Amino acid sequence: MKKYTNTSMTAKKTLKGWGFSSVYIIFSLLFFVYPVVWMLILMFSKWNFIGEPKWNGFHNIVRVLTDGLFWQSILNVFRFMVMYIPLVFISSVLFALGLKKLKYGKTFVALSFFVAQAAPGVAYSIIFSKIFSQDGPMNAFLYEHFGFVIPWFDSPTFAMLSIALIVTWKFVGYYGIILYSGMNAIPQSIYEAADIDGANGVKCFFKITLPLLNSQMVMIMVLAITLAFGVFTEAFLITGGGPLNSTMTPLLVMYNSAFRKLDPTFSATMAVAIAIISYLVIIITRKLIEKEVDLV
Amino acid sequence: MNNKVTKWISAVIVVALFAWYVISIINNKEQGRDPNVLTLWIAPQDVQAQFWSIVVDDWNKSGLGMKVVYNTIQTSGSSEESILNSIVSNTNPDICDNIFAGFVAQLAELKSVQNLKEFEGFDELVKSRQMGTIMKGWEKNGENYVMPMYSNPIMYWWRGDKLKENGWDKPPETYSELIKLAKKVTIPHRQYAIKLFVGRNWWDRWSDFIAYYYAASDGQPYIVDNKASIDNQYSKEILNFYNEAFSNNWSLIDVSISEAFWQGTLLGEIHGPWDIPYAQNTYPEVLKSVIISPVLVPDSHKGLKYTLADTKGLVIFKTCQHPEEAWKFLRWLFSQEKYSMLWLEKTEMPPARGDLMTNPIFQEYYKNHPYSKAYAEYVGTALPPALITNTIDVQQAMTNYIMEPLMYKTGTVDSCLKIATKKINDMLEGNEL
Amino acid sequence: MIKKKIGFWSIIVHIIMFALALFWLYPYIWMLSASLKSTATIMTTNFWQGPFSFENYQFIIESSERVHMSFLRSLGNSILVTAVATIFVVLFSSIVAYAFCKMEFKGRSFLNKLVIFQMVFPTFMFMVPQFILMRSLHLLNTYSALFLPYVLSIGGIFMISQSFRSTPNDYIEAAKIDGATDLWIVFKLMMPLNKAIITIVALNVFVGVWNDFMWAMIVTSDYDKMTLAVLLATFFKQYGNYMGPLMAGSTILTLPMLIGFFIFRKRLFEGMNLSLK
Repeated sequence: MKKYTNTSMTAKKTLKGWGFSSVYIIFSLLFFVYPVVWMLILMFSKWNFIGEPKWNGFHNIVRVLTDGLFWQSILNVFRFMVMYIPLVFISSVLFALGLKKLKYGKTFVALSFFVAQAAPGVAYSIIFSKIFSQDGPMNAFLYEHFGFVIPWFDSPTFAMLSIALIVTWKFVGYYGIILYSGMNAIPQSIYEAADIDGANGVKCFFKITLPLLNSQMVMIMVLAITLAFGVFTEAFLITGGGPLNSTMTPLLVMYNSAFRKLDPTFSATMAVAIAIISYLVIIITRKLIEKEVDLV
Repeated sequence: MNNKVTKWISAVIVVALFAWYVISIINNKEQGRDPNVLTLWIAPQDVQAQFWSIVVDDWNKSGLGMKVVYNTIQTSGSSEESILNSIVSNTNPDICDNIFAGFVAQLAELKSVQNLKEFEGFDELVKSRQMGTIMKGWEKNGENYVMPMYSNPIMYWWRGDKLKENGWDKPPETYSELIKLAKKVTIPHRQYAIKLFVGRNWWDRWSDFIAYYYAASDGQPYIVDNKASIDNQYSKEILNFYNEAFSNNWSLIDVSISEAFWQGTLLGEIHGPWDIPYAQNTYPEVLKSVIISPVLVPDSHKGLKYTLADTKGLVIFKTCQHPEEAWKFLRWLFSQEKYSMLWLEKTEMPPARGDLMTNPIFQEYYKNHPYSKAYAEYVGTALPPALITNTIDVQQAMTNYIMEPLMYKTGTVDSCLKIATKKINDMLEGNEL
Repeated sequence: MIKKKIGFWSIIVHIIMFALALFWLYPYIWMLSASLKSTATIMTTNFWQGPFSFENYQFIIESSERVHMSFLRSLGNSILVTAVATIFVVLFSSIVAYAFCKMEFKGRSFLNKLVIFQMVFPTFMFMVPQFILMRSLHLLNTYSALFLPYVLSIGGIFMISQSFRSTPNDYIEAAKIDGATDLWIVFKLMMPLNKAIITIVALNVFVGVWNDFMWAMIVTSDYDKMTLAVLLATFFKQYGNYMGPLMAGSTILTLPMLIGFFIFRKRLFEGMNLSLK
């Protein structure tokens, strides 16, 4: 008798469980399975949105891997990361430290930085393209006080740096707060113990604080890497990929090939390639940085 | 805040939103594309929108045919991209404006536009507007897919007042004259003689390299027999000039600045005729001292000055369910001189007609509109860009392999021309002739 | 004297941090100031110098109506799409998260693993197939296309699941004994107990959909369905020399986000401490 009840109860539970998850399942079928299937189709076909896709073998893969713009865009992502990650890291650490030492107006300061990430991509791209333009306030300030002007978005050397700068502005608050709450989780007792052993502030920071913030740092790195591979709006609106393709990001290349050249197969193949590369970068980074940290 | 009140207000808002959403779904299902209406997409330009607003209104009131509804082409990227996107999404209109020659070649290849020659009255229309020569530039394999709306010669605007201040009573016409002017007026970061590099978009090459090429070569094509024919002495002269200007910082490079000309920190810049009404509204004092002058030519140049025609027109898509009705509308519009006048009045752009200088109606207008007239005078020697399907790629190549290497000093004039020719030829290879 | 806390360095730190905070707000302040000035004066005056007026706001609202690119309409569209998406995400994610961690049924661990697997894929990867999907469903150029990809946030499900897991089962047992249905438990028990995380997820979706540019641009061709972000981008490309109205548009686009962040700041900060478990 008990067995019957169990089975019917389990069956009922299973039904309910799947019922509740049905939204997720339908959603995943539409927005995950279907796209993945299409990606595979597109990777191996020749198609321009019109008519039926035709089999094209490995031609697309060869096309993408031998395309100068593809590799340029990957190089650009790495250039972006090389500029963005140190900038944002150091800034958010300093911000978190400063926030910790603050007694009054913590919320005001935290919010001022945090609210930068509320900026819609379109709006802040427009604003910064104007602020950094040759007759904009930034250059006016530089000229008045230092006598020179920087072609922020018009020089192949500076364009990517400028994008890295504005993205840093956007996310320092967010990353900083992550670090800050991590710092708060470190018990004072550790610092007091270190103090007794005669460690000074800088030593404390590098030997105690930083290692204990490991999981936060990994999280920030993953966020930053994902962000780097996804830069689109800034490049699309402000620089259009130039000058000299120095800000041509992978997403921009994918968008252009799909919607300007009506070549979705190139775009899809590239998407797969970029996904693999970004995944590898994240895994390697985690292997290098991630440590098991215990607060004994 | 009273908790209960908040809850009620939120509930009402949520219900309202869902209602709106549901209604929009129902609406969509009902309408789809209303088959009893002709949809027209127009260029995203204020003055053109004013023109179409009146035209469409008149047509709909006249009852001579199917109702027309118009909308602006979405342009967060470029209008071509949006149009292609709409074709691909099956949301394209019946009639579409703002099509240039290369794009129509691309559309023809996609087999998405109607051959206008098949419509009754097309040839008469062309004759009545004296468009014989103009249409030659739009024909592909003897077929004609576009009804050209306007033809803007690319021209420079010069600050007459600033020129006078520096001892010049007319704008520079040749490369050496510009160099002389630049040497006098250039103050780095504060004042520039000219803006040679118009922008990073592919269509900006119409306003620099290609226009200069037509001017230097007296209108010779830059694509011949499906190959780039730019590696010659004309380009060399142009690029040597550009090179000198860029090296000496005589040309304003920052493309995000829009106010320099009006503020007086830039003396010469390319402007289209649509900027005449814009200037009349926003900078009327500046407009008074503007001199409109053709594109610069090499010192050795003699005779007529050529330039590029920024010329666009309308197409009828094959997806249109009533192509005859669409043609009726276009024929009605184009066969009446009064609408050419309206176009001229609203946009100041020369309508695509061969009789601008001879027809008394226009002559009367031009008597009182010197700025417009300056453009109309050059319509005869303004040629459209090459009729190739991958215009965008080819002109992008010009940006990447000609303009930018010179600007950023990563190439010499010779190396740029050689590499650009090769790249462009590679692109053109895949084309049908 | 241990109570002498306000040391010299402390004051310096305070001054620096406050100055930096203001510096960080500068772009917003500049944007607001520029939006209240006429185009010609924006680059030639400092941000605190006038003359100030609302002419840009008037201009962008009026002239956009004239050219059939209605600013107010796309503002409405953005509000609609964002609100509907946020509501759906919060409701659905909570239901699904509850199923994933509190209900027992066969295949639950498989679904859990699936979620984690899905999180590996960057969302932008699927832009082309998603576009094709919308086309096949004849949903291009509709509100549905704008928010359907956001209706369920995989990251949201994951975060809410984590948070639900830490809610003690005793409450649930107690409710069940009282005869509560699962749905009641989700809405009246789990959600109120996990307000911080849900606020974060909601705010993430809210900001994500409102600010969304690439997808909205791909999927819309008619101006009456366009969201504000895409419309503003169109203005930037086509009417780039009308700087004043552009700034006004940017301000209107940004303001709701700033207000949202300000109103929910407490919950946000709370939630950020929690999400780092």
